[in-house]
Amino acid sequence: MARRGDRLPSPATVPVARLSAVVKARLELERHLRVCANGPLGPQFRFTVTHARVLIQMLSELDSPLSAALRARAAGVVGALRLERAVPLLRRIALDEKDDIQTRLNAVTSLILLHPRGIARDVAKLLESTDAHLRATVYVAAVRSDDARLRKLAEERYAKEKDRTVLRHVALRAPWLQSVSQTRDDS
Amino acid sequence: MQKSERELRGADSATAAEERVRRFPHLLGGSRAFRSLSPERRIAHLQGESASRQRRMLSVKPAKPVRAQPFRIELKLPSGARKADLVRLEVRLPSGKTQALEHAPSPAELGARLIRLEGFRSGSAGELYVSSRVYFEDGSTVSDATLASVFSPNPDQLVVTPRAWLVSGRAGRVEYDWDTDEFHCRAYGSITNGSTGSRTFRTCRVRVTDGGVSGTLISEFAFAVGPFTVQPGASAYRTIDTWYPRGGSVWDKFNQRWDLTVRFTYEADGGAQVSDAAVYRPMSTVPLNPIKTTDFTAGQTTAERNAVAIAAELLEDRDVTLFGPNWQILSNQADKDRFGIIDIDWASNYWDFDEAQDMYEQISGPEQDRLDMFVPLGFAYTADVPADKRNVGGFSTENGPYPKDGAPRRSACLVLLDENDQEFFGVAVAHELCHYLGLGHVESTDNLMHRNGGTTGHKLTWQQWDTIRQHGMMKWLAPDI
Repeated sequence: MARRGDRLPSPATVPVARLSAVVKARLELERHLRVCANGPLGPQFRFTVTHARVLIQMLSELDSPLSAALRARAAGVVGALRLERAVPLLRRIALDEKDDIQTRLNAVTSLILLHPRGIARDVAKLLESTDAHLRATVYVAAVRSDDARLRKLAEERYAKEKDRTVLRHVALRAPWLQSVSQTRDDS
Repeated sequence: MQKSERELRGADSATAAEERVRRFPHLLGGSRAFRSLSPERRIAHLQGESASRQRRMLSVKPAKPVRAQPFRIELKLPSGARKADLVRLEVRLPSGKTQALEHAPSPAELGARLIRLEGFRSGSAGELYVSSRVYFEDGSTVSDATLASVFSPNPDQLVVTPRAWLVSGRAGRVEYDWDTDEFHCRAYGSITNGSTGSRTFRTCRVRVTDGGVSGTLISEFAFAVGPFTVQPGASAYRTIDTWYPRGGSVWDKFNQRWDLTVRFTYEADGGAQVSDAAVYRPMSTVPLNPIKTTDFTAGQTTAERNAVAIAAELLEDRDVTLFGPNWQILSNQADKDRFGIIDIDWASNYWDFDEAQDMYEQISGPEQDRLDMFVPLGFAYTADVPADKRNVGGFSTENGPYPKDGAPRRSACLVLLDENDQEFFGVAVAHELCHYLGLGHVESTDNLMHRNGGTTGHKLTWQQWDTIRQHGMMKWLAPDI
């Protein structure tokens, strides 16, 4: 498609060796966070302290499609990596009804995995969300957590849940919540 | 675009902003607030006209570059203590020629907080699109993109592109209308008026030739357009459709898989003309059922449509297109509730896609020879999935069954919805379809079948094309080809 008269500088790449360790880590993450799951597993990706630092940074960047997509993916990884420094950002994302739904779904899962102080209050608020997919995800994550308070909270709220999408989604993934409502107090 | 009379062979209309945004990857995603802006406002943002408080980093100097004259690109680095380590830039000239560049800022550039990149020139007038991403030593990044117009000293110029294009510049696809038995050559045209007076266009003449622009004449005709007026220093964006009925010489040539050159000439009052040509080629096609696994918002549906359009463009680089996607959604609410978000588990040191395979087995899109591609809203990883494996964008059966009921648990592919980055979503769609059609992963980073869809390009080799064209899902475009 090039036309006579088009001129562009020759393709230039900056040797990786010239880049700082943090930028190298950033580029590794940009390649790693979105892959196809076909074929044999590649070598294990080892998250370093530098990767962790970049993941936290990613949670606050939104100025391009790539940044927004990486933010969503980072929100899903920081919980499993137990990066407690991510909690304030995750909390902000999870509770913001105007934020991207996929990013929120990942953020609530990570937030419950990280289980910070005040999580019960966050979960209570999240279970009031207008988004059925978000509420369903919170129920499942809460009932699978090690925290008896969260499980009890999920149980109480689930008993009052009316949305059929939430009820069905949760019943398939956390049957205990469904079955516990089949008994009642007879003391 | 209405065809009021069948014997007319062309039609022209203003290009809708919804279609124009597909040319600019920076506008296809980003924050939820940004992507909920109207297409017009997003384009205005790209042109630097929006009221956004975001500080703009990127500019073209001069602001209105002239055809065949050099121009440069400037980046004003943000103030503060952060030190820029790497700049990535992508430049797309009006012709469609695209170049990715990397630049390591020098100490002098860092001191001045200004990077000037010289050595650019456009051979044609039209839209100049530049996007940039700066990587800082603290791990943060800043991105920006800009859209400028290259003017012509001619003073008028038409640039025709066969359709929207994002990541590749190539011959246009001929489309076939089975209801009317006609081939269609559709195009986008941008007409730039570099003169001091306004121009009003009323007619478009079309010449179809073989063997290049000066080749043998196959057909010639004209049709009325607009009328529309282009003010001095402004551009008009037009969508053109020309069609060629059975029995005509153009129909015969396309039916024999010839490449033909179509030259469009717009004529203005007073005798001014603008002209440009594009090459069209018949292509093979993969009939597709994109299937939403739950209810999507309007924005999510737009993202899905954009992704399939982008995937079609990528595949058209190798003469394969996605013909008439049959948009589907799960009809049963219980299925939507189950499969809206797909669980991914971990078993035997690998992802366990049992739930997705249950869905493939229980649910199929219409027609046995249409490829099913499921699009869920999200993935839910179980606690057993390691942190470094929570990164799935999609997966597919490799060399999937044809017809589909040959192996129901392998009868589809699946791509995660990605509203945030719709260009990547489109790359993922093309990548997973090619798995179904028989391709495995490759190591080349500029290949579509790289594990992440290609970081420096999204090409398919001729050998890969030769593999996918043999799959049963691949159809020829027209009656005899």
